[in-house]
Amino acid sequence: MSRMDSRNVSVTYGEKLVLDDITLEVKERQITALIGPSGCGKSTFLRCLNRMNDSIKIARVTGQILLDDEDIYAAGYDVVRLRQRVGMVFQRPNPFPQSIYDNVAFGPRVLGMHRDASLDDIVEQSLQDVGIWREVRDSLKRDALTLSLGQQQRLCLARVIAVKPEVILMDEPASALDPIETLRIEDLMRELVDDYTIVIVTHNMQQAARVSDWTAFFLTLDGQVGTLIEYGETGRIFTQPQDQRTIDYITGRFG
Amino acid sequence: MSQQLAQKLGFAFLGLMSLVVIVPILLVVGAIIYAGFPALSWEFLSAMPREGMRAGGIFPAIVGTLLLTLGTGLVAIPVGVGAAVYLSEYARDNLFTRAIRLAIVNLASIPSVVYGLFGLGLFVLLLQFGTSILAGSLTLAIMTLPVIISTSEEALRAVPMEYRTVSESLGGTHWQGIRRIVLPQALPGIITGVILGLLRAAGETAPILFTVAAFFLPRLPQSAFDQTMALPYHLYVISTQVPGMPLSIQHGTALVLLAFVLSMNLVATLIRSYFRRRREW
Ligand SMILES: Nc1ncnc2c1ncn2[C@@H]1O[C@H](COP(=O)(O)OP(=O)(O)OP(=O)(O)O)[C@@H](O)[C@H]1O
Ligand SMILES: [Mg+2]
Repeated sequence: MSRMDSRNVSVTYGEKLVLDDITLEVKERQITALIGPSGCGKSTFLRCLNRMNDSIKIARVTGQILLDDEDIYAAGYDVVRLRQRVGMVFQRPNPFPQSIYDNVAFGPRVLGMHRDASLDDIVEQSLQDVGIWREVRDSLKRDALTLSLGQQQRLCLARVIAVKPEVILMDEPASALDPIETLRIEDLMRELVDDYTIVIVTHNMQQAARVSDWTAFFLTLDGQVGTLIEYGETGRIFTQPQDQRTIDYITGRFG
Repeated sequence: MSQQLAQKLGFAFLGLMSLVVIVPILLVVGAIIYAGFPALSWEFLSAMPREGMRAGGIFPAIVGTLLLTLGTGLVAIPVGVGAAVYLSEYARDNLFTRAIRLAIVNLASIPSVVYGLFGLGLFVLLLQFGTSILAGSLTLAIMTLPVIISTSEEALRAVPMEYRTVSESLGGTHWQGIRRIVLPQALPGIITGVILGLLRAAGETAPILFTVAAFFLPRLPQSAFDQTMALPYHLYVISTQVPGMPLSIQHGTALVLLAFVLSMNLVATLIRSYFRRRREW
């Protein structure tokens, strides 16, 4: 079943068309990987899914992205609510320079969620979900920036989970981490996908193959415009790609 | 000439230059402490001046300077920090905001006596506040604003853009990100700027000359529309306008003003190092 539905989405930065006519369905409770060479618009597309492009003044998005049959780009659409439903983890771990507790509590606080559930419970549950509760339970007041990078990235994931999103977007979430921490993040994604729909951008082909259920291959055509070349189940994309350019890319012939 | 020798000479030269800067300051401070300390007494700090200021204390001048600093802060802090938040977080980069920034930079270089005359014209005469604490505080506030705005804006801009983006991605509004993350991060810088600005206000004579300062007023102000004595102006008066003034009173007054200004400076330094230390565990 489709969770988010991108229809003919194009993006321009100023005059420059960087994504052309992207149509793909993000499947519910599955991991979708976006792969492709640098500059082909993966991050741009990911940011379209929770309208983080809004804050880039020169960015213009056309087409539709449906969430529950509603176009998130429709006039008057509640962007704050969208960001709560579609959360985001960034490439570099970026906890706020505050305590571990305050980091996780940030979202629930600004959204006023703690009126329904105790903040302590939300924080504990979120940290448990990302598997660092045991490591930090006795030092919730500690500055989050003193954690290891891997812990910081999982804290960022907990910060997103705390607002109870439906979809989690991750832009190369492991590229700043060492191999062991990378594997932990990947394991975590496999656990989380039981409850969440996940879209991940990755440069790492093995990672896409290991972790994702669906793979979308983007490529820059004419050296300029990002296009979706092929989209399908990860097993098929990696074993029987249909487009010659996909074959070239996953066999490492360019990119 | 060997590299090492060149380096040694370079360091020696730089060291000498620092001495040239520091030694006169130390001499001035030392001289004031040496000459002013004997004049200090409980009576000097807490009594009204008597006998045409040639005896008694400087209590009203101390109170006046405290009140003026407070009044300046009450006006300049909200306006200055607010303007800085607007410029750094909301204003688009266009001709209008560039003009504002240019104006702020230029305001900072206007001689203080011009602020004094401006305050006289606007607050004392036009708005009919009279020579009063209100007029003086407003005048000092205007003089202080450029410092507060530019240091606060700098502090706000030093906070990584990323935090604002993350806040937004979690459903925070623009303002929530500013209030909960950006402002707390920028706070040490803002506080430093505020204190530096207020320091300047506390020590200035020219802006209060026509707007608030009383030559000799041996009682405390009763309201914001009262005149008051103030330390810098009092120092000017007893040093130049009153014949037969005991030197010790002049030095004592200078010492009190210096102590006030330096202790505010110390507070600024402590706040900064406190916040810096909190970063490291
Ligand atoms: N804020 C921006 N303003 C202007 N152009 C931008 C902006 N962000 C991205 N671009 C351009 O859009 C194109 C796509 O960028 P994007 O970051 O989406 O690519 P990507 O596939 O994520 O690349 P990478 O793998 O290196 O992260 C690039 O040509 C980039 O230069
Ligand atoms: Mg990218």
